[in-house]
Amino acid sequence: MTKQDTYSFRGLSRRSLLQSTTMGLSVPFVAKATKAWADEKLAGSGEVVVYSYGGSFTESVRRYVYEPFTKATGIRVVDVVADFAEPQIRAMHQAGRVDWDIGYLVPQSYPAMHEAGMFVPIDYSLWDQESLEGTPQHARLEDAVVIHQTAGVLAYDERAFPKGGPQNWVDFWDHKKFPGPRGLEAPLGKHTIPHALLSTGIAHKDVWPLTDEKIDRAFEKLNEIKPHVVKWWTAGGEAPQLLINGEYAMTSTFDGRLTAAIRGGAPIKGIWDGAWLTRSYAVILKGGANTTNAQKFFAFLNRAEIAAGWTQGTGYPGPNTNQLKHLPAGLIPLLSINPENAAKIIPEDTDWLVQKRSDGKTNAEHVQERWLAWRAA
Amino acid sequence: MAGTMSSMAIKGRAQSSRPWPTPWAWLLLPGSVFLVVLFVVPLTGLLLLAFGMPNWTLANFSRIGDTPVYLTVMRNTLEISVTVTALAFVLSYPIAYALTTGGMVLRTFLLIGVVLPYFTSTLARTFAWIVLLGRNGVVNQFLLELGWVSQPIPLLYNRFGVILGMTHIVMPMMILPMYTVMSSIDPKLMRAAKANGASPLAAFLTIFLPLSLPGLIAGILLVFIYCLGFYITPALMGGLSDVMITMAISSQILEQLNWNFGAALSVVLLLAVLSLLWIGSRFFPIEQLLGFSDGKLGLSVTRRQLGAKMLMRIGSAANALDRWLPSMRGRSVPILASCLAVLLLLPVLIVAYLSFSASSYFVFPLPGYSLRNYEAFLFDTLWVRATFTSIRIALMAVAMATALGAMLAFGLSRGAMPGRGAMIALLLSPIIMPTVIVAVATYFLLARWGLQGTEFGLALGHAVHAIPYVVVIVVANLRDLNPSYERAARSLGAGPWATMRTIVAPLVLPALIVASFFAFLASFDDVVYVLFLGIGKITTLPMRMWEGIRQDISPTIAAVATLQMLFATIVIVVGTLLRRQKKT
Repeated sequence: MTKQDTYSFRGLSRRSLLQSTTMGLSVPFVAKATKAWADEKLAGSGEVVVYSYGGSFTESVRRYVYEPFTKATGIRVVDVVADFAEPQIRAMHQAGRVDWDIGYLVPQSYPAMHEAGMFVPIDYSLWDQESLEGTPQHARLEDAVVIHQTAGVLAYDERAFPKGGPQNWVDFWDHKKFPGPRGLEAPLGKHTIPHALLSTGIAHKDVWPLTDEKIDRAFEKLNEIKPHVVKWWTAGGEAPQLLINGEYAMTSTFDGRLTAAIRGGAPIKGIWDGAWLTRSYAVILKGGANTTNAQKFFAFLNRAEIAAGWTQGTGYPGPNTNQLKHLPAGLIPLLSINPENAAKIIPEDTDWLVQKRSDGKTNAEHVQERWLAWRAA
Repeated sequence: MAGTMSSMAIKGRAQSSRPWPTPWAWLLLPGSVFLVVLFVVPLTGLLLLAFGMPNWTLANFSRIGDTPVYLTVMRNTLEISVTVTALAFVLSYPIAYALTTGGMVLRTFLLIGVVLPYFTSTLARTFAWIVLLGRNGVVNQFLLELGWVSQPIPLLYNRFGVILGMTHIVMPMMILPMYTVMSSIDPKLMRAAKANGASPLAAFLTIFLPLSLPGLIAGILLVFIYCLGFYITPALMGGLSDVMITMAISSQILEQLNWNFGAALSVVLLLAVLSLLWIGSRFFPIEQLLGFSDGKLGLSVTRRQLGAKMLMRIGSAANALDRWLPSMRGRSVPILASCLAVLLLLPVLIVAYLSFSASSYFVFPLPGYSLRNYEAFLFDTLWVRATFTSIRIALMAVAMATALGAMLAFGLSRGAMPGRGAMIALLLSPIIMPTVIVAVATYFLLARWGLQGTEFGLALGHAVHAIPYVVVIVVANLRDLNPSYERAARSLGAGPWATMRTIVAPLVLPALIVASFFAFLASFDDVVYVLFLGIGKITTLPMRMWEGIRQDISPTIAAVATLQMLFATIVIVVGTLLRRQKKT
């Protein structure tokens, strides 16, 4: 029912829009959002075209961020959905027809696109003081802002280990002490190789960079665990689904998918020790039609309570740590920005990944090619 | 106009010692222009990136040579594609045969069994396979119960799983072209053979099988090429090493953003497949088998004599063998076909069952029944809107692809053009190339015209992708359309339009229907073109379902799939009933 409301308001006038806010009680921040527009320094008009990943992700973001944004500023949000934004951003830039205003990137794609001049500098003067204070410096680049961070955690089926499950990646490799079918991620080597390295008992700080020797060691460990891995998962939805069905006893999984499954009542537990972490960026595309509105969208999105809404909806938190004050207590232990979890995480070394090697490939390409060779052999 | 055309036709026939374009060749024009503008030009632009344009280099190709993994992946892809094609062929032939010779009830049942798997969403279908073949699946439980195995055997997440999953989906693509060709074979020929002393087996081997060859070749060609492009099913049902080349190319284009290298891999793939087809055509005259009337008369006469001799030998051997075969009174094929159809339907039925789940996850057996998944679909404007968008785009694509593809097929079949081999290679290229490459290339073209993000633009892209299917299916069926029927009609005073309406249309119609069906599915199934040509603004039904795989684990997609299957079933049943009414 909320969905229907959400998607029918494009044709409504502003007056009926304000009336409809009383119906949206399921949406938090109602009190704040219905404040007079005059107070709102971000007020504007027209639209802004924002990329997202589709499915429940887009639905949640619409409910927790877009709706309050439109109510507060009068700016409509137009969805664009794709698996990956980068190839399309590049294509639009090359074709000279930029149809989007905001896109998200994995950090590896950022440097080359930044150098090619595809992005507009972020106007931080529109941001609230609180947002600037809560968002660490490394998350606020000249022309990009961290939009959310994704972690790869160990998850296990509590039904399979009534006396206590694995606590780290060494345990994951110990199939005598913790018997049962395993799952690991197939597509990206840079996600699974660190987990394999950790199984040797290596210190967190020594995981990156992924030198050839370390990759060799990781492959040895992976060959060891291979007979116990029943399915190398590909799509994010697979890992929790296979845990629930009993095809897996333990697996690596994206934190957001895990959070969704746990909140849905699945008997799964996540372990943060040695989780990888990637920070995705949001950018404003040069040549887009609504750059001013896009700047306002960023300023709004990074307000602590809105950031909290984003996290509640998607399970993937943004960088503003002030949001912790606005989040339900039960959710915080499941999040990568929870300081207790953050201490156990190993963020990937993006600077190293994007560096060029002597053969012209980036380190990221090299790691991925070695991964492909190992898995296809 | 007609006058000049017929005088040209005479001229064409007079010089038949050498292939000379007949006026039919004009029919090649619209489709060729369409493909050149929408496919050849943009694709060439993108493929030149493989050579480093504008800083020319062969570095991308030497990287492929230096990194053995890409050749391993290419070999994997070919192995899987060949196996699936062979398996699908063996399983499909009896079904197609039973479709042709069986009664109405059997035919309807088989058609449903063949077509429905196509309409189950990939994720829902994969989950159905887990229910059947997983560690705790039905089959393993059964085997454990019987004590045949001591622990669950791995039926999924290995090469077996990939081949099973892919074969399940490609069956209609093999069966329907065979079926259209088989149903145009005159049953009197078989009766005549039997009356002249041929055993049923001999009659089948010497009469039916050779006449059904164009359908077989068309099916094998389409299935093989279609298999090359698979990557979601291998990823979900395969093991770690089941990497397909399309996966590697997509990753270069979408994730690594190395378009030059992705283009280089695509060039190698295209060349590998085309040379494979060329080598194949040395051993099996693909052109001829597809039904092209060949200009090289002398050669085909000797070949035909040789063929006839061989057929006679096969026939007498089969006659001798037939005495030793147990007789099933002609029931064996329908029984076998029905069993296969039941197997094809098993996962489909599980999807339908799962759609009534009360749980927000895929769980088996269901904890309780509810209609929540149907409500989630029908009362969600996004789902409903996506459905209508998909149908609109598919209908536009079907109209363009069927019209242009049929003209191309007639032109190819009757036009006696020189360089027909090259033309066929060109026509097949849109489905040999990974869709992601064609989609990026087409995007740049549409963006120049301002058509990016429009439904019409997307339909243009889908039409390019659908034309090869239409051409291959129609061409395979044109062999039996003897031009002398049309000449007879014309000499009896029928105008070109009347000839078309009374002779050509009824004979080609079944092929056109099947061709449109595949054109429809080529558009309705797509999740790659829509991303680039729709620039994220167009949401189609399969895209919504694909988001489901990436983002949610919601059984709503099972409900969507079930509704699609219901719709397909209704179409098949109504179609059969209408046909019967016409006949009575």
